[in-house]
Amino acid sequence: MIPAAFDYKAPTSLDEALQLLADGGDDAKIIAGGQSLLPVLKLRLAAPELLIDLAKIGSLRGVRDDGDAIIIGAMTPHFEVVGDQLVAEHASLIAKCVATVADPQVRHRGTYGGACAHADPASDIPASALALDAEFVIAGPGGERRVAATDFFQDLFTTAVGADEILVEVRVPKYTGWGSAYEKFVRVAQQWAIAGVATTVRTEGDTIAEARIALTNMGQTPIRARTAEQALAGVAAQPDAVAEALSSIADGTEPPTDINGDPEYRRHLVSILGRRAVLAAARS
Amino acid sequence: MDLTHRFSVPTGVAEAWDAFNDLEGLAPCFPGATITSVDGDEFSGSVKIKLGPISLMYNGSGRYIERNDADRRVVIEARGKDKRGNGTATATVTASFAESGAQTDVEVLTDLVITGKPAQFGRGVISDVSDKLLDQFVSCVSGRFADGLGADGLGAAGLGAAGLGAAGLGAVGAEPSASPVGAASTAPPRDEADTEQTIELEAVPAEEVPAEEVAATAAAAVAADSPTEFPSARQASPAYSAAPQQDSGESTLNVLSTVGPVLLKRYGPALAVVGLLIFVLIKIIRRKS
Repeated sequence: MIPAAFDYKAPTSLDEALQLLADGGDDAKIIAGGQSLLPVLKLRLAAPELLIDLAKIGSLRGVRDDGDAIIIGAMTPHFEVVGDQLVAEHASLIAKCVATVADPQVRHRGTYGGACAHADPASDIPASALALDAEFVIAGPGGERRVAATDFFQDLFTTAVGADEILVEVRVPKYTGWGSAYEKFVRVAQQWAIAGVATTVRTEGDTIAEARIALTNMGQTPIRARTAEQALAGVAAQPDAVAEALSSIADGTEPPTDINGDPEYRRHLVSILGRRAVLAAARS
Repeated sequence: MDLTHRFSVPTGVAEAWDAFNDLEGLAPCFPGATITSVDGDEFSGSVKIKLGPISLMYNGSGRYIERNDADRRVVIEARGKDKRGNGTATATVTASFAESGAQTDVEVLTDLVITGKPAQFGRGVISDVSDKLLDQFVSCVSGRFADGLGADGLGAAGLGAAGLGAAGLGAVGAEPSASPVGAASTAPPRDEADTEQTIELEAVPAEEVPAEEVAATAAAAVAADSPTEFPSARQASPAYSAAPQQDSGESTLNVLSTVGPVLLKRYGPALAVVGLLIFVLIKIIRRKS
């Protein structure tokens, strides 16, 4: 349980970090909060020669207003995201998803950007970004580029961030006044989600006007349930009506099989979790 | 652990047979595999597995241990050792060919034995990884046949599978039957051939315990062992600490010898209570009769 020897650099600017990454090539690895990377290093499933810690780059941390969107710095720790006023006002779904991650220690070290870049399909965080159509700002040798969440999460542990690039910030459109809920099913506290449903809805009176839904651990990446979103438009925020609208929520998913359940079980789970989440979001 | 892949290639059986007996070439089909040298029936090379935070490099060698022209069967054995000395992986790959109309049905059986740290990576993550890599390989192979570029070899498959050893053990224990992962979403294009895949657990218990039971108990132990979301707890399930091969040199993963002590520790007290109950019951029954 002792990592292989590595060099450690903690640059104070993004340019410096990109340069170190470019120089290090395959043997360099970015570390954010380290809550997923460190265990991997301890098991020696990876043995980078150089760790580049982003913790000292102040510009990567914090949440700020950017007109029609809020911007979450990649190095913003989970606990800051959960307690942030801008997030609570314009993207409350993110706070709800992040609040369920692991335990306080992990939430004080782990970062929003780090969890997105890690792209674990069982992680609660990617679904929050996907549901809200967030954009990921990625810096590389050629400057910055923006990638939509649908293109960002490409596969198991694989994102659009290239080997010589760094995720800088996540740009989340404002969903001011929308209700939100995250329903995550676990058998024991702090387990990885067996399945999860992240949803945010806009209501008009007792009717759901618009909905966004993303599913956790129902495939190799988080998955948007677009058919179900469309079916929810104009539906009364009542259990039966919502359940019917969500009948297609698991369509197109490829959930994993493990000791917690098979795909059929997980599809059933999200239909129940989806109903609970949508109703809770509509009432929040 | 056995991995089975079946696919059909749109060529005659002779052509398919020749292709699988030609060593160099298929390496590019296996993600990260390189053949560095070929000497008769022996070859050596490396497999680099990189997926998200996981980065492993296996160096190894392999050889054809059987080429049965009559039965159209090849058996390749490959061994790999992790660059950082963390573990080894061996794979025995058996490919058999059967004519089916204008097509050839190919079945590739891979028997994987893994030791070392990679075997400890839990939650089925590693089996997802191995599934994905094997899917890519099979799609690539069938795609090449479909394109008529049959002049390839299976050497990389053996070695690749050995490299997969790293990836494979998540399936042993945690997931007796791994899910068929989305080949369609990630596979290279030209996936014209039918591919089908099953992964089964095969364990040789040290005592008279049915393999399924061992697997189930092992799985239960894992479930109980990694209840938290701490990444370390999730990945470092002690049930998978690799035990040295103890059986008569037979290349099978001895699940019970590995997890036995863990199970005993965990369920020992419960077993003792059950034993006591049975003892008391027997006493009562005897007294009555």
